[in-house]
Amino acid sequence: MLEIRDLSKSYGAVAALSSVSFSAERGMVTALLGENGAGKSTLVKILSGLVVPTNGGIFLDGRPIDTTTPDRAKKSGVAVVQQEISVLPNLTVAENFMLSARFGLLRRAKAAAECRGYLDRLGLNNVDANRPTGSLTVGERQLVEIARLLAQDAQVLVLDEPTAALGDRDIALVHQAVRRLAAEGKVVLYITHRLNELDEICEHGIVLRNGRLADSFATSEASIGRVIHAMIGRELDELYPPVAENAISSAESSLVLSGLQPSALHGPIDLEIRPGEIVATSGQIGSGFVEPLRAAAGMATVASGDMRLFGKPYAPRNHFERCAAGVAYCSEDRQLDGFFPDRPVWESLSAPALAASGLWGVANAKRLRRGIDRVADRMTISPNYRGRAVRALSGGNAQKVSIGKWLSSDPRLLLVEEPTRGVDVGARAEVYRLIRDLADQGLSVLFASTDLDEVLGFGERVAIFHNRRHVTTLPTASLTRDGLATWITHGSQHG
Amino acid sequence: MAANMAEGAGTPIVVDGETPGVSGRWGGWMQTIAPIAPIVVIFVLAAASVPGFVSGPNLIAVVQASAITGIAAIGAAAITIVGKFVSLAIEQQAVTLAYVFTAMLMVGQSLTAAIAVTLVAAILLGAVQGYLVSRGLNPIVATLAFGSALYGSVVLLSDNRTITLRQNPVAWLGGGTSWGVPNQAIVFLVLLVIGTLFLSRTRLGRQLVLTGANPKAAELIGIPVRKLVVIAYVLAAMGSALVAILVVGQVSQASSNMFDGLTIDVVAAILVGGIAIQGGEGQLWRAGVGALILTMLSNVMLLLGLDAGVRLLLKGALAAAVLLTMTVMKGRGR
Amino acid sequence: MSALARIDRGLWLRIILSIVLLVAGSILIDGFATTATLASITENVGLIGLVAAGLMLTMVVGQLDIAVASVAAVSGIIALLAGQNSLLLGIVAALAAAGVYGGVIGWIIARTGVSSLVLTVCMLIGLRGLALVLVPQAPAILSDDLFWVSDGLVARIGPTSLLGVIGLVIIIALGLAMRGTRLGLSMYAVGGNVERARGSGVNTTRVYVAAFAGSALLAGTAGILASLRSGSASGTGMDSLLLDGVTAAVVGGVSLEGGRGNIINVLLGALIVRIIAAAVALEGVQSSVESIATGGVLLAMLLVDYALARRSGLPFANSWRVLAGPVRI
Repeated sequence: MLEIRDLSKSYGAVAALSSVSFSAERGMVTALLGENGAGKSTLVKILSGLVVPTNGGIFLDGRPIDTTTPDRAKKSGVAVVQQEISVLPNLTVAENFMLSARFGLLRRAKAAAECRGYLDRLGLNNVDANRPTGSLTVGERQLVEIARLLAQDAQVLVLDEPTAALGDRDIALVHQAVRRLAAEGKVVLYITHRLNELDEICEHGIVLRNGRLADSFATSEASIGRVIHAMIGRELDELYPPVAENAISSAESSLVLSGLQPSALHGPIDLEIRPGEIVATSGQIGSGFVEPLRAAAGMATVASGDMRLFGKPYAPRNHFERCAAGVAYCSEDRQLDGFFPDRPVWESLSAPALAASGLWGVANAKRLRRGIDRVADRMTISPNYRGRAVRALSGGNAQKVSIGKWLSSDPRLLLVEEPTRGVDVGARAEVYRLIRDLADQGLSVLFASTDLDEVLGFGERVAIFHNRRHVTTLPTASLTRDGLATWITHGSQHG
Repeated sequence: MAANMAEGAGTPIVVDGETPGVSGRWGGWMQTIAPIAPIVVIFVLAAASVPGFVSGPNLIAVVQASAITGIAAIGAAAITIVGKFVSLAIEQQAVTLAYVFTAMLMVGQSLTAAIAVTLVAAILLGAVQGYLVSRGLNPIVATLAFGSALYGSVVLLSDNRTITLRQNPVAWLGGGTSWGVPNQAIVFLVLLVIGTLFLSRTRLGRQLVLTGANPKAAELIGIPVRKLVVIAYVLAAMGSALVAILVVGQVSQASSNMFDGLTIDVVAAILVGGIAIQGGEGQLWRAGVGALILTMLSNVMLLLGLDAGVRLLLKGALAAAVLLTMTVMKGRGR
Repeated sequence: MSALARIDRGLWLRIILSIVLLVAGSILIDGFATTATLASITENVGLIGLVAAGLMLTMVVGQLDIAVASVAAVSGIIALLAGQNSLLLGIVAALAAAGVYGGVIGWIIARTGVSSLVLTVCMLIGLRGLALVLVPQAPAILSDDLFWVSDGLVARIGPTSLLGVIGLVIIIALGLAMRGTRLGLSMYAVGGNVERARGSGVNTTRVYVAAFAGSALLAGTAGILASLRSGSASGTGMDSLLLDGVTAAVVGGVSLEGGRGNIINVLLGALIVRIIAAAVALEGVQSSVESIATGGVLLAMLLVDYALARRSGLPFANSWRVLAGPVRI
């Protein structure tokens, strides 16, 4: 049995985890639930030895265990499977096992035989140990990762959203393996956002909220409603700016997707956005909810159907054509591709305008720089910082730069993936206000998000995706959080 | 997320911690000064130890001697700035263009026609390399291979003969002086100014810099990244063409070994000057300064009686030192 | 079995290409199908193969040491200079110098994240200077009483010479080590994805040091053997080893993206490069044709690699990552 006793972790005055106590039995799958920022990731980091708790202890079968460094955690028998798996695709399955071999000389045949045993234990009977890992499905790779940890004699397995990026077949595979592990008497902590997984494979549930234990229950006795209430437990705050009274009157659509079938989806998308409107797409990870943005950005292969932008046929083949059509796009990885970190802030902000002006001709640096003042003012970036490198800005402000830079080229449609991922609450409100202001001036916004509060609070309508299909599009005003959660997890109104 | 709650809503700009601000400013200053420091040191050493170093004629001679490397380096800097490191085909390209230019004059074409054909050839050479690299081929290996094939072709076609001009219409440009200053030196300095203006004052130049600074971001905002890579290689080839014309003007002939060591000098000049090697920096003057430093170094060592080996060794060491200093400082600034 | 089949497609392609070239050479070129030509080809395969195998090490970890030719030149010179009295001392000194160079470069790259391409371009320049410092004018000469070494190296053994055998033995030993040790496996892991390799418990600094030291040692060995064979080493020599080595490695299917490459294919790559060189030499045309051929073959292979990667949908086109060390934006 794994026991967490009085575990706390503070960063300065902020408590990320305060006096959390719970236990997880051997032979059971214990679900660990909670919203982003509830303290789950801090707990996982403590268990994997990346973070040392301020207070409290961890006990395995009654004995305290040492998880103060990653190595010690591993030696104590705690194995954490991160969302970002670390199996190497260019090595074979057996080779991945051998990377942690104790000796310098490899005994391939022996390793392959050993590896076979672990693979069989997880139900990977038909995976050849000599296959390159890159040729496996994502779920199989996930299991290889788990098998590798088993080989190192793990007793406690912490699985951080193992099914988040998987398709149905792989999910079944992982579930089956997780059940087997529990049956073998391992302690399994299963972190998930998919509430339907609770009933499917978890016997016990733990809910964290704001760094505290909010609820603990046997899944056979708890309703979904109870779980959701435990997870949220608060009212939506004033993060989201109101829709302007006089906004949205245009009848003409800015973007129309009719019967659009990206190759990555199983069914067509039908969606229409008007000027001034903010529309969300949402779903579970892997449900295809990002596809409409990718298609409109010219990044997805489209099998059939068509797109129209302000009435004209629109089929961008690359970013250059998209920009020429006045469509702005912000990827999920904005820290990487949203700005020019070593160049001054004003250059990032004016870059879309510069690109839109074409390659030939004189660029007036002063005018470019003055041109961004309006943008930077609205983003409350102080004039002193406009000449400094973006790298010097805080994360939230860098995010504002990566979205706000598009103002300089006056786009007609803005596509944003996960508009506030990695943004702290303060900057979040500003990002929302920034986009809302733009929309009130007639910009159409389509954003993809897995954050239900954000979808409900910020979107006016939401296109819901389930199992790689566009299921429905609903006005958010008519939806409750539970209702949306049900749609997303089940693809229908009823669970 | 919980940890961030404390910051509250509507925070104005926040600089991450204290240190980056301080070390960042200091680091920025250091980065500007780094390439100038050797020039000052070498200059002072030379002035102290070598009589007659700080005389007008000698200084002009230094600029003159830097001109060829400098011009080629200004062109090649486009490749560095756009984020493709350096080219290893510079001398082969210059030799080819020198043969083209000389051959055009030999067969009796007018100077204009010869220059035009040379430039067209340069555009072709640059475009081919640029196309290959823009598709994702490793820039150094691709230019190594291209240079080898190109050089082999030129030697084959010319039968490895030196071709000499009986009448040299560009002698005034390659060897002449204006107001006592060698024309090569004037071309070098003028090109440096033009190049600097190009990078800061034209759309193309600014987009070249942005592409090198973050190609992914550049692509997402609609900059035609691949096209710009091709253009960068074309600009580098134009630099080589200019060098070819100037040197043919000076020596009235083209031979297969006329640019031996040019690639090394150009690469060393770019590195020693301190242009950010991963691209995205628009300080073209650094290429010129790099060429000047190298020439002064050679000049001093020559005067001190050190031979070619030591000069080459020091070039490599200095380039590596500046490269590592810049890399480490950049890592710190984060 | 499936693993064998996987390696084999590329392997067969290269074997067939080698045979086609050999047959074509024999039919079209007088004097090609002689044991002398064959021995010369295989001997040089041993030499180029050493350099290419070294390049394979740095390429497998996702980097490149472009200074191999300069390393070979300096090593050859040191071996002859320090070996005036005791050849063994000379060889040990030369190898030690190469190993230290490689180790230091590998360590610097691991620690600073500097682009290996650019740093080793500096080294290419600097070490060439060092070679010229060591032998400014007349080349270093093997002392008269050691001339038996030169004769011994070119002594015919079967279809090759002693030099060829030494080269092949070292290369094959390296191949076995790459496959049979954890360090070898770790190199492929690092080249596949540095972060993941680290997450899997690989000491990445050690891997970089080993790869660069290994590469320098192999290039140094090639330089020493070449110098001993000719009995002299000049400050400007061995220039062509870089292009030949890179071409052999790339023709041998080593990916410049890292994480891919095996020794048998590299040997075949070296064989193909040397067959072409021998054919050119026998045709009596200028050596310029050789550089056209080698450069052309290298470019063609880069393009083929690109086309294949594109077809298989691998993110090869992510060219900005190429050899720039860890992505640092």
